Amino acid sequence: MSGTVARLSGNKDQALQDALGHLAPDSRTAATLPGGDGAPGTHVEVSGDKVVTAVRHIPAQAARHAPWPADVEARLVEALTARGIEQPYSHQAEAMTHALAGRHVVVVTPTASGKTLCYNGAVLSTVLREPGARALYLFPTKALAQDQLAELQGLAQIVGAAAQREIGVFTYDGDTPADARRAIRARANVVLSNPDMLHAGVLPHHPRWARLFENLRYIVIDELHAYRGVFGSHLANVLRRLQRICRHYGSDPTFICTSATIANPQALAEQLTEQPFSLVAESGAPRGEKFFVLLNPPVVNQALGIRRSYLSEARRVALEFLRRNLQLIVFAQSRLATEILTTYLKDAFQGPPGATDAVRGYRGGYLPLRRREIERGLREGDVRAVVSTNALELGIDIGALDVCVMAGYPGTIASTWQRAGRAGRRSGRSAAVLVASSAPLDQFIVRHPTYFFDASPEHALINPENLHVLLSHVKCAAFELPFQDGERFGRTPVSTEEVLQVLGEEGFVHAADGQWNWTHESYPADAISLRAITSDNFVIVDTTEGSRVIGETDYTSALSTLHEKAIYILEGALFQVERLDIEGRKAYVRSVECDYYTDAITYTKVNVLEEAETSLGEVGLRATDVGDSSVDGTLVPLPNRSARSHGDVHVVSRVVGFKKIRFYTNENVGSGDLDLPEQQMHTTSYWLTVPRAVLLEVPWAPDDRRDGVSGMAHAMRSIAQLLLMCDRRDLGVSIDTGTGEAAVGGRPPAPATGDADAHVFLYDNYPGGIGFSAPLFRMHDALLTQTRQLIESCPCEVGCPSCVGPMGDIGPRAKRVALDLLARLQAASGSTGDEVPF
Amino acid sequence: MASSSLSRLRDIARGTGASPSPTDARVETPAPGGVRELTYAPVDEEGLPLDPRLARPDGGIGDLPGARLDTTAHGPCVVVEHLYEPDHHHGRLRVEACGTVCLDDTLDLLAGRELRPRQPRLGAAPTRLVYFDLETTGLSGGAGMLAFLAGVGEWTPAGFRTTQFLLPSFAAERALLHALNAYLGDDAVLVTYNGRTFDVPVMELRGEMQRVPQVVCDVPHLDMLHAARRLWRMSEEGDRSCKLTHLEESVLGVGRVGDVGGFEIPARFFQFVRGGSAAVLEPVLMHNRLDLLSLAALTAHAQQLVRDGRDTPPSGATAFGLGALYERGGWIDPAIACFRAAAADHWQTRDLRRAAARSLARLLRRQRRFAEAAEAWQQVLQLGGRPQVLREAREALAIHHEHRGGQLEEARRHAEAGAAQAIGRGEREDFTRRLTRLERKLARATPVAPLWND
Repeated sequence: MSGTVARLSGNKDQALQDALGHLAPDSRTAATLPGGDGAPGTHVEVSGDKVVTAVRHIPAQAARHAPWPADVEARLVEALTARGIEQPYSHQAEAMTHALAGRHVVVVTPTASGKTLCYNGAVLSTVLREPGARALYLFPTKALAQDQLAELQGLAQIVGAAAQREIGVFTYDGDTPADARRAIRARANVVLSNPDMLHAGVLPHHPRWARLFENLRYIVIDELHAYRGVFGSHLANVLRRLQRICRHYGSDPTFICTSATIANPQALAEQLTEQPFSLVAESGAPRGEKFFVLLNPPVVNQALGIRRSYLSEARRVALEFLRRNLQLIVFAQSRLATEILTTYLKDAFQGPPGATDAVRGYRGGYLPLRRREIERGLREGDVRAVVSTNALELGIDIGALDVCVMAGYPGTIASTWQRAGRAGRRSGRSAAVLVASSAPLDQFIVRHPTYFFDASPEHALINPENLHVLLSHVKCAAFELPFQDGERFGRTPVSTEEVLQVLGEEGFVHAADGQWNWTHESYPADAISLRAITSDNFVIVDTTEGSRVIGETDYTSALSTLHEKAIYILEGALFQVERLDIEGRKAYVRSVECDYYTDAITYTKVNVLEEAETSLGEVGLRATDVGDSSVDGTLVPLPNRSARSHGDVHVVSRVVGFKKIRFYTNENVGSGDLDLPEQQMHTTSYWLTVPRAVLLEVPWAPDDRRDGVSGMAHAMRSIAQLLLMCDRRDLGVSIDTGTGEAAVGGRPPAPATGDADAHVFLYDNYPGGIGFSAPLFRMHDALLTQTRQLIESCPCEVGCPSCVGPMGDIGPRAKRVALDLLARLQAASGSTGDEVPF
Repeated sequence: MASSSLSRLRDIARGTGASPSPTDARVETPAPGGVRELTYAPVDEEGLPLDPRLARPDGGIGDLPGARLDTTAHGPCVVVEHLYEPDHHHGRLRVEACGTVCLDDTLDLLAGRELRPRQPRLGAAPTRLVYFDLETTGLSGGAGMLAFLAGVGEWTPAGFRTTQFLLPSFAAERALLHALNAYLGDDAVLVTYNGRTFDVPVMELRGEMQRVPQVVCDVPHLDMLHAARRLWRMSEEGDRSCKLTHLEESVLGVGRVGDVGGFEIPARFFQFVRGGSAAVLEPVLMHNRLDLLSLAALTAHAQQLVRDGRDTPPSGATAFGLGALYERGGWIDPAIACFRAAAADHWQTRDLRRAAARSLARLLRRQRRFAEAAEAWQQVLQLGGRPQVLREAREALAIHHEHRGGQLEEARRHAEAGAAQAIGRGEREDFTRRLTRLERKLARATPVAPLWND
C-alpha cells in the first residue's frame, strides 16, 4: 500500500523532473538542473540571454512539532486530535502561547503552514474557558472571511458540542441581511469581517455592539502584509478608533496577526496597532523540495527589444506540465490575461476523454457557486489546471498542487513567493516557474536571479500620519465618541488639538464642557473609502446603452486617466472617454474595440517646500592629495558631488497630451494634445541631485544629457517600485534639468545645459504622502546600483521600454548617457553596498 | 511650524488641499451657502461674534418662551410645556377631538397588534396614550447622531398638553434620557409616526450610548404610519409616501405657515450649542409641537373612521383603505362591506375599484363564499385593465366553474381567455394544462349525455 503511494509519487517526481528539462528550447539546461541530491539552496544561473535564466533548488524540510501549550483547552485538543492534528507545529505552539498569555503576536507563515490554528487555537480556548469572550477577525476581503467561516464553524461546532454550548461564529459584512445583524451582535463569539465594514458599519454604531466591545479578547488580523500604502495607512487609523472604542468599553484585546513573508512584519504590526509585538518567524511546517525556475521569452526583435509574448510562453510551459499529468495553477496579471490563457490552454488540452473541464479560469467576478465548484475540483483533482488572477493568491483552500506558473512578475517578491507556495505538497517535489513579460521589473528580476532569490522581501510601508487620512479618521472618531480635552488620537505625533480646532472651524465639531462633540448632520464614514486618500471622486458613466455608472476614480488620477479620448479599462473591457465633466466630476465613456491603451503626458513641476534630510554623498578623501604627503588626510569634498534628499514638496501637474500605446508590444501608435486645468498636490518626495559638474563632465550635447537624465529617471522609477513594494502608479517621477521646466511621461522640453544642477524627483503620488520618501532616501545606494544593473543588463541596443523608456520618446543616446551619468554619480557617492532602509 | 501645519490642516479640511488648482476652485465654490452660514456663525443679536465656550448658567434658554431649566440628579434639562386648549382649531378638527382617542379594540386594529397585554404586569397597566416625536441632528443614524429634542403629547382634561425635553448642551444628554423615562413611567402606550423604524431605534441607541435603557423601547407602540399607509395610500389624500405633513393637509385641512424645513433643523440646533440664541430653536419647537398635535388629531380621525365604518362603510376611497385595515385585523364583515362599497363607487377611479373588487374576491374565497367571490371576480373582469391584473381573475373563474360550478364550457371560456392574456411560459403552460384537462372532461361528458337521455 505505502509502496504504491511511494511509486506514484516517485512517478510524479520523475514527470516533474522531465517537464523541467523541457522548459528551455535548448536542452543543454536540462543537464544542468540540480537533482534532489544537489547542494541545497543553490541555483544555477544561466547567463546571457537564455530562455531559462535560473533554476533554484529549495530542499525539503521536515516537520517540527511542539507539545500543546498548557493553556490550550483540553476539549479543543481532543477535537483537534480527532481531526488528525495530534500535535501543533512549533510556530503554532509558539503563537498560541504568546496569545494566550496576552502578548500581541505576529506570525510569519508560508502558504499552507496552518496559520489558522495559530489564532483559532487561542481564541477557541479562551471562549471555552470564558463563555462571554469575544473575538473579531479582520480579513482584507469578504471572500477570505467566507472561506474561513466554514472551517472555523466546523471546529467551533465540535468543540461547542463537547462543552455543551453553542459557540457563535458569523461573518458580518455588506452582504449580511439586516434581520440577521441583531442576532449576530447578540450571539457571536467570533465575528469575521473586513476593515471597510468595521470602519463604516461597526464602529459608528458601537453602542449596538456593546457586548462585543466589552468582552473583546482578541483581534485577529489575517494577511497583514495586504495592509500597505494607502490601505494600510487607513487601517492604522481605523485601529486607533477601534482601540479607542475598546478603552471606552473597558476591554484591552490582544492582537494576533498573520503575514506572508515580508521584511518588516513586526514593525508593520507595531505601526498598524501601536502595540509591542512578539514575532514568530520560524515555520515548523514540513515542506517538500521545490524547483524555482526563472524564464525569459526569447527576443524576436533585438533593436526594439521586443520579446515573444509572455502569454504564449506561459502557455507552452503550462502544457509541458499538463501533458505529464501534473496539476497546476497559472497566475496571470489581469482578468483579460486570465481569460486569454484559459482559452489557450483549453484549446490545447482537452484532458482524458469524458472528463469534465480539465482547465478552468478563476477570477473575481465569477459567481460564488462557480468558484466553490472550481475550488472543489482542484482539491479532488478533476480540475487539472486553473488559470487565476491574484484571487487565489491569498488563503483560499484549493489543496496543494504540483506546479505554479506565473505569467508575468507579480510585482513584489513577497507576492511571488506567496503564489509559488500554492504549489508544493508537504512531501514530494513541486515547481514554480516565473515567465517574465517585457515590463522593466520583470526583466530586472529574470536577469538578476541572485537579487530575487537572496534579497530580503520588501518592506510594507505605511504612513498613518498622512494628514488627509488622519483628518478623515479624527472626524469618524469624533462622531463615535466625543474627544475629551487633551485626548490624543492614538499615538499620532500630529497635534490632535490642532486637528480638532480646524474641524471646529469648519463646523464638524464643537468644544464645550471639556469635550469636543460632533456637530454635523453627516455620517463621516460614508464619505471615506479606505482604499483612497481623498473622497473627491469622479464617476465613470457608460453611455453605450442608456447610461450607467461603471466605476470611480479619485480626483488625483482622474485627469490623467479620464481625459477625452482616453481608453478606460474595466475588467478587460475597453471604453473610450467621450467627455470629461470636471465640475460635475463625471466622465462619459462608450464601449470600443481597439488594440491600444492611452498614457497621459503630464508636465510636472516640483517645488521643494521643506527638506527633511539631505545627505551629500560626496564627502571622502581626495586621493591625489592624500597619496604622497600625509596618511591622515583631511576630508575634502570630491569635485563631482551628488546629493540625495527627502522632504515635503509641492507638485503642480498639467496633462498636456496623451500617447496611444499598443497592447503587448508597447509600440507608440499615435498621440493627441489636451488642454486641462492644473492640479496641485502637497506630498513627500525623495530626490537625487545630478550636480552641474557631473552634467558638464559627460561628453554629450545638452539634449543628450537631458535624455540621459530622463532615461535614468525612467529606470529609477522601476527599481524604486521594486524596492518599495508598491504599485507603479504609487510613485510619480519628475525631472528638472536645471532650467525650471520639468516633465513626466516624456522628455522635459529644456536641454540640460549644465548651467544648473539637475534633479530627479520620485514622489508619493498621493496628497500628503504614504511613507515612501524616507525609506527611499535610505535605499539610495541600492537604488542607483540596481538602476545601473537594470540598464546595463538590458540586451537592447539603444534603449527600450524595459530599461530607459521607449526609444521614440527618449532619444537615441539615452541609454549610453544614463549609464555614463550613473557611473559618475556612483563614483561620487562613494559608499557601496545595500543599506538597510530602517 | 505649528501655524504652517494648522494652515495645511485647514486647506485639507476645506477640501482645497487635495488637488483643485486656483482656476478649478473658482469654478466650483462650495455650494450649501445658506445653511452653512446659519450653522457656523455663532453671533449674538447685534451680529457680534460669540465665544462658543461661554458658560451659560441658564442653559442659554432665556430667549425661549415657556422654557424652564429643571435641575435633576443627572444634570440640567430644559423642559418646555405647552397647552392646546380644547376649543382650539387644528384644521377641520377641534383639539378636543384628540380626547376621543381611547384604548380599545379599534386602536388595536390601527396598531395591527394588541396594545393592552392580556395579563398586565402588576400595577403597570398601560393606560396613557403618549404621542411621541423626536428632532435629531441628522438622519444618518450612528453614535454621532443625537436626539436633541424629545417631544411628548398627551390629552388632559385641560386640553392637549405637549412636553418637550430639550438638550441644553451635549453633556446633558443623560438628564434628558432620564427625564423622558420618568415622564413615560410604566403605564404609557406610545403613538408615533414612523417611530418603529426611526424614533425608537434612535432612542435605543442613545440609551445604549449613555447606559440609560430607554422605556420607549419596551412600551406598547402604535406606529400610525403603517395604519395611515393602509388607509390612504390608494386615495387622493395620501400620496404614495403618506408623509405626516401631507396627510395633515389633505385629511385634516391643516396649513402650516412659516414652518421650519426639515433640513434646517440640525443646523439650528448646532447654532444654538455654539452659543447662538435659543430663539433660533423656537421654530423647531413649534414644528415638533405641531407634529405631535397632528399625530394626535390624525389618530383620532382614523379611530373615528374605524368606529363608524364598522356599521356603515364610508364613501369614497377611504372605504378601500378601511377594508384593508379590517381585513388585517380579522374583522371580516366590515371588511367585505367596505370593499364592496369601494368597488361599487362609480365616482372612484377604475384602478381603485378593480383593486377593491380583487380584495373582495380574495377575501370571500378565503371565507369559502365561492359564489359571491365569483361575482367579485366577474366584476374585476368588467372593470378591465392590463392582462396581468385580469389573468388572476380568469384563473379564479376557470377554477370556480370547473370544480364548483361544474360549468365546463364557462370554465373553458375563461381558460382560453386567460391563456391568451398569459405572460411568460409558466403562466401559459398553467392555462394550457387546464385547457387540455377541460377538453378531456368535455369530450368525456358529451358522448355520455345522449346515453342518459335515452
